[in-house]
Amino acid sequence: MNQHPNSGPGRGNSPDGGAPDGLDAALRDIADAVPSGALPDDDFAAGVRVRALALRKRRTRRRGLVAAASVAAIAVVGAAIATNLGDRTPPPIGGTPTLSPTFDPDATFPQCGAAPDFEVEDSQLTLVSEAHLDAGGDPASESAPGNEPWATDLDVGTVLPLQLKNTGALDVSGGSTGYASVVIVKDDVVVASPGPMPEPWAEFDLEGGQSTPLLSTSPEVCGGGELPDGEYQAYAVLDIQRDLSGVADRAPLAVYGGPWTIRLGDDPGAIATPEQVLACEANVTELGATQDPVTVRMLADETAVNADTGEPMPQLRIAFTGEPGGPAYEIGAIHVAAIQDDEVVATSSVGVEDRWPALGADAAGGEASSASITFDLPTTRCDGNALVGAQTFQAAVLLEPLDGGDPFVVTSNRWETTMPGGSATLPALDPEATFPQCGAAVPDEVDSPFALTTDESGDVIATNTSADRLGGITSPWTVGVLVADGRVVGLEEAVDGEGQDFDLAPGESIPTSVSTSTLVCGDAGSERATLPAGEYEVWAMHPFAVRERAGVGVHEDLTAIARIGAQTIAED
Amino acid sequence: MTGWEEVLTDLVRARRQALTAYAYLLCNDQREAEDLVQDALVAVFSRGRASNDIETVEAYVRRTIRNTYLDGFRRRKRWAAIRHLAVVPDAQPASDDTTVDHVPARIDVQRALRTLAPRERACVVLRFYDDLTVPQIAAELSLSDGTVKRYLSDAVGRLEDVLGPLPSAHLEDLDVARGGAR
Repeated sequence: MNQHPNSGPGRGNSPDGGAPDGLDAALRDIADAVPSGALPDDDFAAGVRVRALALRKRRTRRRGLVAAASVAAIAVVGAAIATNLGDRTPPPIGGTPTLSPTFDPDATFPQCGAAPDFEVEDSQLTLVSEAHLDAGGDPASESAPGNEPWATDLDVGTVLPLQLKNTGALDVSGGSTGYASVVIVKDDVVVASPGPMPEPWAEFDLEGGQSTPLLSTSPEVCGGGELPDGEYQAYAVLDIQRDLSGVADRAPLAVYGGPWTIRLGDDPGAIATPEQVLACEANVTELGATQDPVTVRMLADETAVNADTGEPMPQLRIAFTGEPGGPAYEIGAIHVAAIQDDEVVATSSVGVEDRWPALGADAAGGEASSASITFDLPTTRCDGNALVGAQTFQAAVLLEPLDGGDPFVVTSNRWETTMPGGSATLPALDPEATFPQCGAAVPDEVDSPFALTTDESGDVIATNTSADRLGGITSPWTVGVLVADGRVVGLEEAVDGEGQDFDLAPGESIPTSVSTSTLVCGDAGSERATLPAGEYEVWAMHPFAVRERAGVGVHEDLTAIARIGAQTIAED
Repeated sequence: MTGWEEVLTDLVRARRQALTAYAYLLCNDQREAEDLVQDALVAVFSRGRASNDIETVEAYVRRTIRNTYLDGFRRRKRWAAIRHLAVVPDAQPASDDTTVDHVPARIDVQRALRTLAPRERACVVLRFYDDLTVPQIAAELSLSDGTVKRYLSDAVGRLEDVLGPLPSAHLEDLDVARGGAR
């Protein structure tokens, strides 16, 4: 950075020690104390890279296909071209799936509204896809028009694998971005045109019959919104610059592929993902009972001990019995859902490939075999609260085979157990804390021109009790805390919001809202236990940034604090 | 990895703390600072070709952090005025080298910085942390020199309300009447 020629403010602290006479020194002191963040640098960079890549591909689109496959065969050499082949219309806000494939006679393929009419130059080059299966059920080396629809779902970024193929006998070389534009057509009208084109430059040199993989850009739905589920035709376009024999300059050329019939929307034959089967708050009444050859049961007599807290940790055991002649299983991951009243209330996943042996007939030499694995139960509820105290559970366990086979779900018996952390310890009085911080003492009296009271319905209202008209900015809600023995023990975690203007004449009031947490306050981010049963005082604090008092501009940050009631926490 | 990805990785490894610190000076919130840095990096590296020069890219990222911060607070201006009152404050960022002398100074200055409006705060950071001149600040924030001077004058006045006199923060080129710019 450039240095100020009159670097004026005194450098360093003032002679009396703490006063930051030199603002620059104080700011550097603050900056030096700031940590980078919890994530390791490389993980943080990876997260940025993923978001940046996604933005590069999706800058103006809502949804679409996601780039595919490897480009190992393409040499990226750094030059760049940028091509935008399609129209872009801002999508409507909150658009619902509609489709209006209106033909536009002035549009040219692949623009929105155009018919899929294009001249294919005899270049020996074409785009092929391997999205379909051949008659034997194996991936086709080259999809052909008329193939059975290929089910996909644009919303989840299903891949459309594409290749640039030299269909002739002679070598062809040239360059392109390495990205083909995907175009979606319905009733012979383009309904989704090419999205933004990334900028890398890739050279190719293809012998006769040879092909090289491409990435595909994501199409943008014409007019925004989403495409209704159904069958469509997909085309692909790749702009290349082809080397011509005896010609110094490369010749631009558009290479096409398709149409391939695709089916958008849910694939009725798709297997539900673990997240869908055992998602938080999912209803699991249809899961059924434990199925052979896997059984799940609670290890009531082999409770582990939490190494950090010393508290007992209930565990779940999956017992596996391999039948003679039955299939062998190798389990790669286990997804666990704790169920109460037929609803998933907590979930967790564990990878077990290094702990779960191969089992079944093969592993046991044709004999019956058995083994089991134990692991901790989820400890955090779907709503973020800790799963503590006496609980009645059923568990559903989804097992993902290592070989990519279909996941299957097994369920456990019901049992009663006590989760750790049930005996909540209340925070001690913290003389350094300021109300309403956790552990802070409630103030004896508050000097404020605002008063907090509750009306008949229990809502909180803030009243200007001063003799002046007061105006400024205030919060839309009131901070509520639970108090025991004179100190804050329960505090709703703070969230950001929108401030609201206020302008109150003497005696005038504004309504506000308050909520309290029944969890023990403490370190943010850690699991928190429910407050012990009992009665707690409810105190409230409401902030006001007063910017005008009796018509005069002021800068007063004020709070109103009051005891507004009591709350009883019952035994669970 | 492509060129921009390598630049990104190098920048994060070498300058992430500095960028986070810079964002923290502006927003005074560790989590928001981390978000600002990430958002700025994404914004910079999602646009076409970025320079391969780390310093150039860092300068661009800092500018984006600043703009993102100001844009965000333009939208959340009213909330910014009361956030320090409505949100129970987090603990101070950890530091291994804090001293008895430094800790109260840092806390006092942080408290004082909270009283500044976003543009005032940005001017203070550019002036006293980045060591930019008034014309340079004006160029960075697309403001006139006079407006920057008024922001700085007002900001120093507010800081003095909390910290006491800051005689060396009053530059000759800031000698303008307070209260002119809001």
